[in-house]
Amino acid sequence: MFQDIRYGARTLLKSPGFTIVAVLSLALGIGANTAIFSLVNAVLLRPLPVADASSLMAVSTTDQRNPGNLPVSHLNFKDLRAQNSAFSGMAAFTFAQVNYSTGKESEQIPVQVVTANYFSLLGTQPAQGRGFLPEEEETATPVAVVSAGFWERSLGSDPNIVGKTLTLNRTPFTVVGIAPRNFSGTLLGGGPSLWVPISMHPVVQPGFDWYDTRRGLFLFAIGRLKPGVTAEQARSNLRTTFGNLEQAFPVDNKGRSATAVPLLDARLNPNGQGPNVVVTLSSILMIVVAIVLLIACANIANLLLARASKRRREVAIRIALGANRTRLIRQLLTESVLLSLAGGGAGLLLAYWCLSALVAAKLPLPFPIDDSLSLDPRVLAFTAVLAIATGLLFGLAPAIQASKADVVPVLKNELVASAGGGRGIMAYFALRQILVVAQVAASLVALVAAGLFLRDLRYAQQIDPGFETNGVLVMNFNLGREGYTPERGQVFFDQITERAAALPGVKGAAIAENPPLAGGFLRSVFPEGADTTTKDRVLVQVNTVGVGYFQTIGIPITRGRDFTRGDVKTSPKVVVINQTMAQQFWKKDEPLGKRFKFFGDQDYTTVIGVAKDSKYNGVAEDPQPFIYQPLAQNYTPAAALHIRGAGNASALAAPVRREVQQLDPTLSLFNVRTLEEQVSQSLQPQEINVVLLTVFGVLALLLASIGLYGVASYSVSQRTREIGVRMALGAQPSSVLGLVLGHGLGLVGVGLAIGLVLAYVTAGFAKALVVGVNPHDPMTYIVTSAALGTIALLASYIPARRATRIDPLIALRTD
Amino acid sequence: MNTSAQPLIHLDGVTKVFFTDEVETHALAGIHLEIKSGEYIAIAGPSGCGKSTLLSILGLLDSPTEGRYILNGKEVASLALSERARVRNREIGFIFQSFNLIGDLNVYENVELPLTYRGMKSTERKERVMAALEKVGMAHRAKHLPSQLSGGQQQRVAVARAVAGSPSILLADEPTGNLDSKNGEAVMELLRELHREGATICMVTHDPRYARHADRSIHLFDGRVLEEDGSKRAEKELEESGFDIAH
Repeated sequence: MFQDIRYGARTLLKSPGFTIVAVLSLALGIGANTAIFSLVNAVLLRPLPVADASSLMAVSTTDQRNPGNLPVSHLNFKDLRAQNSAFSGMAAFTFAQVNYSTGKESEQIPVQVVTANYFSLLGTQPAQGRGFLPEEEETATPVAVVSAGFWERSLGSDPNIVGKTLTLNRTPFTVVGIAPRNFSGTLLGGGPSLWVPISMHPVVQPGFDWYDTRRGLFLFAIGRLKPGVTAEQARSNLRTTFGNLEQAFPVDNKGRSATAVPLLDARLNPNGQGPNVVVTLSSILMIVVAIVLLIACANIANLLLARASKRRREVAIRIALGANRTRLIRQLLTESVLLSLAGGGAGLLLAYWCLSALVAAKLPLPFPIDDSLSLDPRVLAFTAVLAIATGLLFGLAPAIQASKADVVPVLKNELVASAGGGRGIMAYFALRQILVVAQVAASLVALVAAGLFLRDLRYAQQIDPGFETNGVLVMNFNLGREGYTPERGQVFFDQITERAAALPGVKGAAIAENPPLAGGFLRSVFPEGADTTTKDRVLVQVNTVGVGYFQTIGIPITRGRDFTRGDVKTSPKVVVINQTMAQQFWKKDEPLGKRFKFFGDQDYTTVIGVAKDSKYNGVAEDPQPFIYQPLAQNYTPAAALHIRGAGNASALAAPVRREVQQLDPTLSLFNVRTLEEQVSQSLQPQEINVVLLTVFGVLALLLASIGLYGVASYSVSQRTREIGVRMALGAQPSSVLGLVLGHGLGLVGVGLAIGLVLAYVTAGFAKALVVGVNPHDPMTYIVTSAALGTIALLASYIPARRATRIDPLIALRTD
Repeated sequence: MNTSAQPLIHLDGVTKVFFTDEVETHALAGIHLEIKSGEYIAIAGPSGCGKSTLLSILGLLDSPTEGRYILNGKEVASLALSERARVRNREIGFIFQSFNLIGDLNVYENVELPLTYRGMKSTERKERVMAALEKVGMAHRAKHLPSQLSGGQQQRVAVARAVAGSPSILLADEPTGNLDSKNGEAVMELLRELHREGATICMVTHDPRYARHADRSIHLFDGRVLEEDGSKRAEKELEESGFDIAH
C-alpha cells in the first residue's frame, strides 16, 4: 500500500496541470459540501446537550380548530405538571427581549423565561454556579443564568461573574450561574443570552398579561418520561389529564387536548405540520451541493478516463508482469483517493474561508451561526469520509476500465488512436460521453432549482405590500422595560408623536404595536349573534395602532373612518378591519357598524372603518383577515414609532432620537430602520437562498461545460486522422464544424432531456418554499435549458473550430 | 547446459480464433509443441503467421480457443484471471520488442515491480533486483529513469526485470527489433549467457541470424507449424560428444 501511495503521489506530481485542475474542481465541490454541512451541523445535528435526551418529550396543546402542535398556557401547564402520572418532571419556557444596560450603553438581548426546574429536568449542570431554586419560581427573585456566549461576548469572560448583578429592564438581576458552553436551549438555532425564572415575567415581559389565563398559548413544555413509561402511554395519560381540565374549565379548554412527541423530533418538526423551514432549506442546499460535487466527480472521472487511455501501456505492462486486476484497481484507486484527499484539504480551506466570511457578514439568517459555526470534529470527519468516498466514486469506473486493457496489442504498439480507435478506447469514450450526459442532466436540475427560487424572489419583490414603503422611518422601544405606567405611557405616545410630526420635513408620525410585516397577536373573534364558547370562533391577527397610523404608512381607508382622538378608553370600543375580514365575516353586508367580541371580552367592539388589504407577516402571504384596534383603548408598552418624511427617511433618525431623548434620556431605541429596509429584510432569507442556489447552479454549469469541452476536445484528437481523411476528400470546414458540434450538441440534448424529467419530478420537493411560482413553471425550465444549451454550444464550439484547422497532410501521418 | 526429459511446456492442439463482426480469423490452428526445461527455442515466420499469438498464449496473456496448455505439469489454459496473473508473475519473464519499461519508475523500481506483485519482502526484493541488474551490467544505473537510457540499456533492464523473479521460462518477443545491430547483438549475447546458465528461453524472431542461436527453431505459417529445425541442438550434442563439426 505504501508503494501504491508513493507511486500515486509521484504520478500526480508529474502531471501538475491535471492535478491542479482536478484538485480545484474537487475543492469547489467538497468545499461547498463542507460549508453547507457545517451550517447543517451547527443548526441541526449537534447533539442536544442534555441527559438522556431520548426520554424527553415536548408537550403541546392540540386544538380542534387549529391544526398542529401548539404551545401550552401557563395555568394548564401547572395543572398538567401536577396531575399527570407519565412524567417524572415537567418544565416550561418562553421567550422575551429585554433591555440590558451597562450604565453607559444598552442593548436588546434575547432571554428565556423558564420554570425553576428547567436545568435540573434537562440534566444540564451549569459550568459555574447553579441553576434556579424551587422557591425562585414561586417568589419573584431577580436571578439569572447567563449563556457561555453572552458571558464571553458581553461580560468579558469575568471569572467572578457569579454573584454580580446585571441590569435588565432597569432591574438588577443577580447572576447565579453560567450555562455550559454547548448549551443553548432545546430549540433549533440560537439560544438566549440568559435565562430568568418565570416568577420574573412581570419585569422581563411587561404588559404581557397572559400568565393567569388558560387561553394564552405561549409556553413550550418539556416532560421527562418516568422509567418504563412509553411515549404512547404518556400521550394517553396527557389526554386523560387534559380531559379533566376541559371538564373543569369548559370555556377555556373546549376542543383542546394535550399531546407529546419526542423532544428530538419536535426540534425538527416543531408544530407537527411538516419539517421546519430550516430543515427543508438545508435539505435542498445539501442536495444542490451534492449535485455540484457529483458533477465535479464526473469531470475528474472524465479526466481520469482520458489519462487512463494514455496509461494503457503502463497498465498492460503491469498485467504482463503479473499484476492481477484487484491489485491494479487498488493502485489506480489509491491515486484517485490521494487526489480527492488533496481536494478535500483544499475544500476544507475554502469552506473555512467561506464560513468566516459568512460569520463576518452577519447575514440575517433564520438562525444565529456565530458561536456554533465551526469546523468541528464531526465536520472534519464528514469531509474526510466525503473525500475518500468521492475518490472512490470518480476513480472506480476509470480504474475498472483501465484494468481491462488489451494487453497484447498495447504492448506491441498495435493500438492506433485512429478514427475507429480500439475496442478499449471506444469503451473509454462511451463512458466519458455517458458522464457528460449525466453532468448536463444534473446541472440542469441545479439550475432549475436556482431559477425557481430566483423567480419566486422576483415575484415577492414585485408584490404590492399594500402600504407605501418610501420615506418612512421606524424605530422600536418598550416603555414597560422603563417602568412606565399605562397612563404615563399614553402621555409619552401622544408627546413623541406630536414632536416627531412637528419636525421639519416630516409629513406625519404614528405609533403602532407592530410595524408592517411584523404580524400581530392572534385573538379569537366571535361575530355578534355567534356562539361565544368556541363553535363560531375565528382566529384573527390584531395590531394596535395610534391616531394617524394609516395615513403615515399609506394604507387607504376604503370605507368608514380612521381612528380619531375621540376614540378613548372610556368611549365605545371600535376597530378598523381589513377588506378580507369584511368579506369573510359579512360577505355582501355592510361591515360598518357590525359588532363582535374578542374572547373573554364582555363588551362588543364596533367596526368603524375598512382598510385596504396589505401584507402583515410576509410579502408573499395570501390575503388574510386583520384587525386594527386603537392604541388609546388598548395600551401596549412595546411599540414602534413610524415617521413619514418628505425625502430621505434615514435622515430623520437623528432629529427623532433627539426628541425622544428630550422626553426620556434613558429610553432605549432599537431596530431603527426605514420601511424599505424592513421589507428588504423580510426578503433577505429568500435572497440568501437565491444567491447560494445560483452560485451552486452556475458552478454546476461551469463544471459541466468543462466536462463537455474535455470530451469534445478528446473526440477531435481521437478523430484527427478521420477528419484529415474527410478534408483530403474535399470536406468543407463548415461540415467538419457541424460534425464536431453535432456530436457535442447530441450529448447535450440527451442530457437536457433527462435533466428536464429529473427536474420536473424533483421540483415538488421545493413546493413549500417557492410559494410565488409554480414548481413546474415552463418559463424557468425553458430559460435554464436555453442557458445551459448556449454554454454547452460554446464549450463544443472551441474544439470544433480547432478541428476545422486540422492540416490533412499532418493528420494523415498521425499514429 | 542440460535439458530434462519432462517438458516444461506442452501445447496440445492449441487453436486460436479471433471473432469479429463478420470474419473469423484463425490465428493458430492445432499447434502441438513441447519445450523442455533449459531449452532455447526460436519461433520464426512471416508477419501475421501467428508468432505473437503463440507467444501470448504461452505467456498467459491470452487463452486458446481450443486445446490444452500444460505449464510445469499444470493445465493453465482455463485458469481464472487472478490465477493466470499469479502464474504469469511466478513462472514467466517477458522481454518485449519495445522494452515496455514504465517511464515513471526508475530502473530499480521497474525491475522490482514483478517481485512486488509477488508480495516478496523488501530485503529479498532488493537482493534479487541488484543481482539481476548486476547480471545485465546495469546496477550502476539503478536510479536512472528509462528515458535517461539508450535503447540497448533499456532492453538490458527489461531482461533484468524478466529474470529477477527466476521464472521458469523467458519469453522474448523480437527482443532486438528496436535496436541497432550492435545493441541487438549485445542483447542476444545476454540471452545466450542466460541460457548457458540454465534459463529456458522462447524467442520470437524473424531474423535468421538470431534464430540460429536457438537449440531449435519452429517455423510458423498461417497459424500452423511448418517445420521444426533441430539441427542446432544436434550439432551441439555432437560437439559435446567430442565430434568436430565443420561449418
